[in-house]
Amino acid sequence: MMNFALPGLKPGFSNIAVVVALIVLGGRYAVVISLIKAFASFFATGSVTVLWFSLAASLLSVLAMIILYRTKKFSPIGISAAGGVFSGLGQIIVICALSGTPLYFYYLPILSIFGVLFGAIMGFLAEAISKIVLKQRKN
Amino acid sequence: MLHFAVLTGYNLIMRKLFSSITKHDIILISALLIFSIAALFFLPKTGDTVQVFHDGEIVYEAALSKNCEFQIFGKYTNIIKIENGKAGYFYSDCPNADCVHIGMISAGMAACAPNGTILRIISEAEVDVVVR
Repeated sequence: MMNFALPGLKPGFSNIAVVVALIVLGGRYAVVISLIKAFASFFATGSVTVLWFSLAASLLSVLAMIILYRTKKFSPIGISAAGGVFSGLGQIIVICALSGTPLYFYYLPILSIFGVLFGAIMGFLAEAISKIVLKQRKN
Repeated sequence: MLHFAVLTGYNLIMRKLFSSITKHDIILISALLIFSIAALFFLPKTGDTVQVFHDGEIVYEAALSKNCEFQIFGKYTNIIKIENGKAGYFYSDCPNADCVHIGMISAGMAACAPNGTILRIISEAEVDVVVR
């Protein structure tokens, strides 16, 4: 089997906040939250490269999630799974642009598999949280 | 009886947990998974030629059977080793050294993103394909 050690492979718990914002507050707030998230990772690491990765990944995934959400055919689980795939795609586009070669697309399949699985789990958690938030808001 | 109780309980929990999952969700998730797994199978399994790129330019190309060890100096320093039909990053002084953790490979690709180097193993037939 192939060996993979990928720097970009993380569960993406922060995506929960974006999905909750999308459901509870709407698409615009989800974009704002994902921008804050990207700049937070920049301030935490101080690396401009991390900022590019984070911006591309979170903006691409939030746009995909907004489009899926607007169709009203998907639950947060499917929305977040697609978001996971698109954040992987965003990272690969950035690394290809930075390195000047398209060779990194080699990693797209494995990133997508993890993106779907982790994304679905995060969507499930996000749905549970947004249900609680909506209930709290009603009271 | 117990079996029935467990099954009913399981069904109730699952229905509660996944109450909102839609048919479209399942189609979307399985389509994404099937495409990604299918793409994995299309990735080359064997190769006989090593190519090394630094900042998008090819710096080394030779048969995998030829033993070799060399350094690449850039933002960081990588040592690449080609030995006994396998190639890999032997040493790197970049922060996480993910490239070294990949180990020695006989197919596919390894990369050191911080230093901008890529090592890939392809078959002779693919060598002529223009990379950029």
